[in-house]
Amino acid sequence: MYICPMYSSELLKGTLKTIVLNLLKEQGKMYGYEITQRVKMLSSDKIQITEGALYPLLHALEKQGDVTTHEEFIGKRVRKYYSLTEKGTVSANEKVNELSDFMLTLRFLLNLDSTSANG
Amino acid sequence: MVKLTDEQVEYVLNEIKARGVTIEDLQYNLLDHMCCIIENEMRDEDDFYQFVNAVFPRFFNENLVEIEKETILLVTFKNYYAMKKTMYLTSVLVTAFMILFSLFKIFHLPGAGALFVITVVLFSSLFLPLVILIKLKDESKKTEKMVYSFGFLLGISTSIGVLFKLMHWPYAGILMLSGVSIFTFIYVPLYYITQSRTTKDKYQTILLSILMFTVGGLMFALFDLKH
Repeated sequence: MYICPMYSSELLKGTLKTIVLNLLKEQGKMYGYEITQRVKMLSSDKIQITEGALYPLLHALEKQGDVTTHEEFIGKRVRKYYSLTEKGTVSANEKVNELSDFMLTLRFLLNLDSTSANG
Repeated sequence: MVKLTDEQVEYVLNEIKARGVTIEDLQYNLLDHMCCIIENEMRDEDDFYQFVNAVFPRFFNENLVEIEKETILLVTFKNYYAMKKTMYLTSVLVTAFMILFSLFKIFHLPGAGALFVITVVLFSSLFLPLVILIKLKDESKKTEKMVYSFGFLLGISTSIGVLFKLMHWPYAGILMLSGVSIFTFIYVPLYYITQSRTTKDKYQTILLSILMFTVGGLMFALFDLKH
């Protein structure tokens, strides 16, 4: 239900918030479908965010004050654009730093540098 | 790229509603998302209704309402953790104040009464209500929710009764007697019946029921019912 298809959902579950916050930081404002397509494109189809994971997260971020929204009417449809608040920008930076630090620790822990150097 | 008509958009919206999504905001989010998929992926020769029904399962594992449940869970999750943290903090404060009160009482120091009032107020107006709310969230069965809530409500009334008694305030007797009587003669049998039906560990249920009944009975025996 969370993120698929190349990596296991357990592996990626904790990164969805960081991915979405960072995308919004870089792009300014985005709507749901646009976010899923952008992630798909940037990851060369390796990461596909499912709707079942994205919308609950966007609602939670809105409730927490990390994102703000504005609506545009397209005929009978309402398109909701999400953009970061000041608090959201701080959260995005924190999340990206945390994840990057975690990735460095993992590289060290799994001894990936020597593996890639040997390989 | 296909352009959807108002009727087709209406059809998708009705499908989303029919599949159990009730939060309006989420309905419109899903509607726009679904329409984007249809506009970008449906070919001219495809049948609209068949295509819509084929796209829906992409959104869920079992049914669409999962998204709404996940949304509610995520939105309330933060409060849940805040509630748990407050409960732990209150339990530490209650214990600390109770120890202080005991020391003040033993050594006949001034301020023991105030400490006791603070302890009981914290315990009955913050700690126990938070325990009830967390139990209501954690327990999945309705009977469990009711039994635990009932027990903690009795705990609130009894502790307030004890406070009234020690502070020599009016109606202490009624508060304590009703709390202890309902606990011993209604709650304990109710706890035993509901738990022995559902819990695998029957020995623990029997043991806890006997313990609670004995403590309740001993407290009940302390009351002078003639006065």
